[in-house]
Amino acid sequence: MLGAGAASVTMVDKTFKTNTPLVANIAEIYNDFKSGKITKGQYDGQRKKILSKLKAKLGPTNLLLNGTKPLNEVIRISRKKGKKPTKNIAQQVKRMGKLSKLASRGGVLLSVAGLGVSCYAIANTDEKTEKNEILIESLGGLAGGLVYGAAATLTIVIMATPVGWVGALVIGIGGALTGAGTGYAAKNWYTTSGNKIDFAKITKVDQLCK
Amino acid sequence: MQITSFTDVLGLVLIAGLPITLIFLIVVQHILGFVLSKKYDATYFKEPYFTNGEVESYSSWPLSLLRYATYIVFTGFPKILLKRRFKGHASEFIPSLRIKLICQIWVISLVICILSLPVILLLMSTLS
Repeated sequence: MLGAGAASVTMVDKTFKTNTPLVANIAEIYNDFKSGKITKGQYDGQRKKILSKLKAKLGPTNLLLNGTKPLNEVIRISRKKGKKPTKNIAQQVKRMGKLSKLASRGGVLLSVAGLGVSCYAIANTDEKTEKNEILIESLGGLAGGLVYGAAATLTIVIMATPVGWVGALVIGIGGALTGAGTGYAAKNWYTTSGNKIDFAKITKVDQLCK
Repeated sequence: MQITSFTDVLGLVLIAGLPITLIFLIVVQHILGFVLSKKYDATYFKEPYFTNGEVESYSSWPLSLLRYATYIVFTGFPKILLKRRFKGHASEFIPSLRIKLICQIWVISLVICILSLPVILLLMSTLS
C-alpha cells in the first residue's frame, strides 16, 4: 500500500516537474507576440499546440492541479487592468512547483512511514529470525528504490525531455515494484542462507525498535 | 558474523553496499552541485539551455538535484550534453582535472550501482 502511495506521489512529482516548462512557454510566446517577433496567427497556433501537448502530458493529474476547470480556461492571458497579462501563467507555474515539492516531500514521508512500519513490526516480534527477515526486507526495498531513483534521474538528465503522466506513472510504479522485488529477493537470500547473521543485533535495530 | 559463500557477499552488497554507496553519492552530488552551479549558472542556467519553467523549478531543493546532476554529467562527460541540452555551446569554464575526474567517478559509480542491481538479483536467484 505504501508502495502504491509512493508511486502516485512520484507520478505527480515527475509530471509537474517536467511539464512546468511547457506552461512557461505560453508566456514566452505571448511576450514574443507583444514584441512583434511573431504574428497573432502564429501566436494562436503555437498556443493551441502547446495546450494540447500539455493536456496530453498532464492527463488525470490536471484534476489535482485545476479541478474540473479546462486548461485553456486556467492558462489564459489576463485582460484586467493593473494586472500583468501573464500573471495567470506565472501562478500556474508556481502552483505546479508547489505541488511537485509537496509530492516529493510526501514520497520521503511515505518512505519514513515505511521504515516506521518495519520498526513497529520488529518491535512486536520476539523471534530473532523474524526480526532479521523484516529488517533485511526493508533494507533490500530501500536499496531497490534508491537504485531506481538514480536510474530515473540519470535518464531524465541525459534525455532532457519532459516526462508525461504515463511515463511518470511508469517511473512511480517501477520504483515501487523494484523496491518490493528487491526486498523479497533480500529476504529470500537471508532465509536460504540459513539465517546465520544476526543483523538486527549487529546494527542495534533490535534495541532501537523496542 | 559468518560469511561462507558468494551469495552471502552478494546479499551484503545488496542490503548494505548499495544503499550506503547511493546515499554517499547523493551527499557528493550536493557538494559537487554547489561548487559547479557557481561556475555554470551564469552561463547555462537560463534560456535556451533551460526553459523559464525549469529555471524556476530547478532553483530549489529537491528539484535542484536534477540541475546538479546535469552539471556533473556535463563536467565529466561534456560530449553527451553538448549533443543535447547544451548543443554546440562549449563551456568557457575549464574544470580542473581533479574536478573532472571526481565528476567522471561520480557518473561511473552511479551507472555501476544502477547496473549492479539486476546483476546481483540474477546471480542470487541462479546461485541459491
